[in-house]
Amino acid sequence: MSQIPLVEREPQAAFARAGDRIITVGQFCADINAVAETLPDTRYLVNLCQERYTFTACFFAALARGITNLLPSRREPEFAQNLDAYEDLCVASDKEADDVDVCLNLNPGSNGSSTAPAQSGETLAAVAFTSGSTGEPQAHAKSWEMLDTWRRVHWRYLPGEPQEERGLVATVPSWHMYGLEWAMLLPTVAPLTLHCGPDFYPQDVATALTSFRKPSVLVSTPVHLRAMRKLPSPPANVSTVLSATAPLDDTLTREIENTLSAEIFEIYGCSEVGSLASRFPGQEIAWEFFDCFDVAYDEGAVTINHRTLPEPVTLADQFKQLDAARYELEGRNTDIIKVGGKRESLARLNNLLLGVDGVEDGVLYDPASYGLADSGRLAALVVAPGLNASDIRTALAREMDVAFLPRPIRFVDALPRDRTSKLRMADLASMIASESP
Amino acid sequence: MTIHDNISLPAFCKNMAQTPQQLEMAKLIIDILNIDDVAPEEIEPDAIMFDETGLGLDSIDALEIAVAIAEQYDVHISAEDEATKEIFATLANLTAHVMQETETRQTAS
Repeated sequence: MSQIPLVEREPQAAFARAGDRIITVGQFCADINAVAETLPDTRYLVNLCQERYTFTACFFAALARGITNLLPSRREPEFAQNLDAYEDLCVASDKEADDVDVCLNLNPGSNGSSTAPAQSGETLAAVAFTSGSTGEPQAHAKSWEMLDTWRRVHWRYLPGEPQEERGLVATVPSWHMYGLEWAMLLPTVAPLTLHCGPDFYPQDVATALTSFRKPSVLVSTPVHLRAMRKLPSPPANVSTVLSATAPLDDTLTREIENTLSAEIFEIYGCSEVGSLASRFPGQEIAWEFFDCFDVAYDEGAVTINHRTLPEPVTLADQFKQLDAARYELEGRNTDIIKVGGKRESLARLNNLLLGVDGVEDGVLYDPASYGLADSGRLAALVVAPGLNASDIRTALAREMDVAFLPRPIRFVDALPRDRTSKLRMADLASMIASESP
Repeated sequence: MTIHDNISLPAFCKNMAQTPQQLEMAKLIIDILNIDDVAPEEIEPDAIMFDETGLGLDSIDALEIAVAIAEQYDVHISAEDEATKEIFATLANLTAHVMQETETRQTAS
């Protein structure tokens, strides 16, 4: 298979901005080449760099060497060393720590060749992990040809003038697939200058956007956008806002479009593939799948295929086909829940709750599914005489990501289980309603 | 971990350490994060809020708290760095930071 360049932009163009420092595409390539030389001869690399530019350079340096980037959602070095299925790995970070094999500092930048390296499309560029319905992490392999195809498709779909020089500010990390695609891969082909952040709190994001003094793209999520609604002096140079990871409601869409005077472009995706479809939520309810995919539709189920996928992927969500290209999202799979962009099986989380010492019965639920305000968190009903909420949260925090810790936890005498000990949604709904203030 | 983590004291004993400003901040945190199974008086000023032995909060909670603080106190927290982690570590630190920012502004104006 042919070699695909890692970066396809003019060497003098601005690739990234870290503080006041502009990093050109040529400097970026020099850093990739220099880091690639320092990496040990391993098959896999866990990239724990926090700073966005260093993460990006490290990712591409591994790719240049043909080393596969592992992208676990847990970011602690000691956890990275325990990816049991992946022997022969090294851990890279921009902070010294035990268990870190390669510590990177790319300021000042490296000297050396500024020629963009290339890699064969067949090379396994990355493995992303999600929680499967059984609770065991599932690995999703990404070939370099796949990622190369996606970045070109995304550039084509990015609203605005394709050749216009723009800034790019992201509130999502690059090790999450959405951030990897839109805030790491995209600037390697599109004329975007990546802001290195950290861009998390509303004031930081606003300052980062304003500092570009040219139109800018904001890559974000409903959670971060909600936090930006009431900015005292919103930036005036935002040309496009991208949102993904959770559905965006009409009110938030309108508020953000008014505050930032920019249109929102919403992305739908899944971990197995990545970004799949888009819509302008201010104008249209339906999603259009990117035209690179073969889309098969059968009674609500959508199956996606592409030559770079190992096999066709049937989406967990149900859709209604409106016409040849437009699909309305009808319902979400009830077992898989998403909190803060992280995916988990509700069944697995419930088992963890039932496994807590002293918990006799209990159930976790998403308040939004029961007509309560969407707090973005799970809640729980628990039968556990002798325990308090803090005991339960402490025990659960040892087993699950804190994003899924329930609150509030309400204590009841018994759950309304039927004779087969099943918990019916309607019975649970009445109990939730009577227990909620 | 503080010694109190292992002892179940009545709420009125725990709250003796809270200042009125800390209690107000605790109410804001409980309210904004929907933690209504914990009373504001129960958040100990020096207990770590963002780890598994405390309230088990994460970065999205920090974001929501930052937005609520901006609305209520007109204090804007920025940069997700080590200093910000320190500010968010405990109820006492967060309250002290907000009070300090408010006082600096009043002195300046």
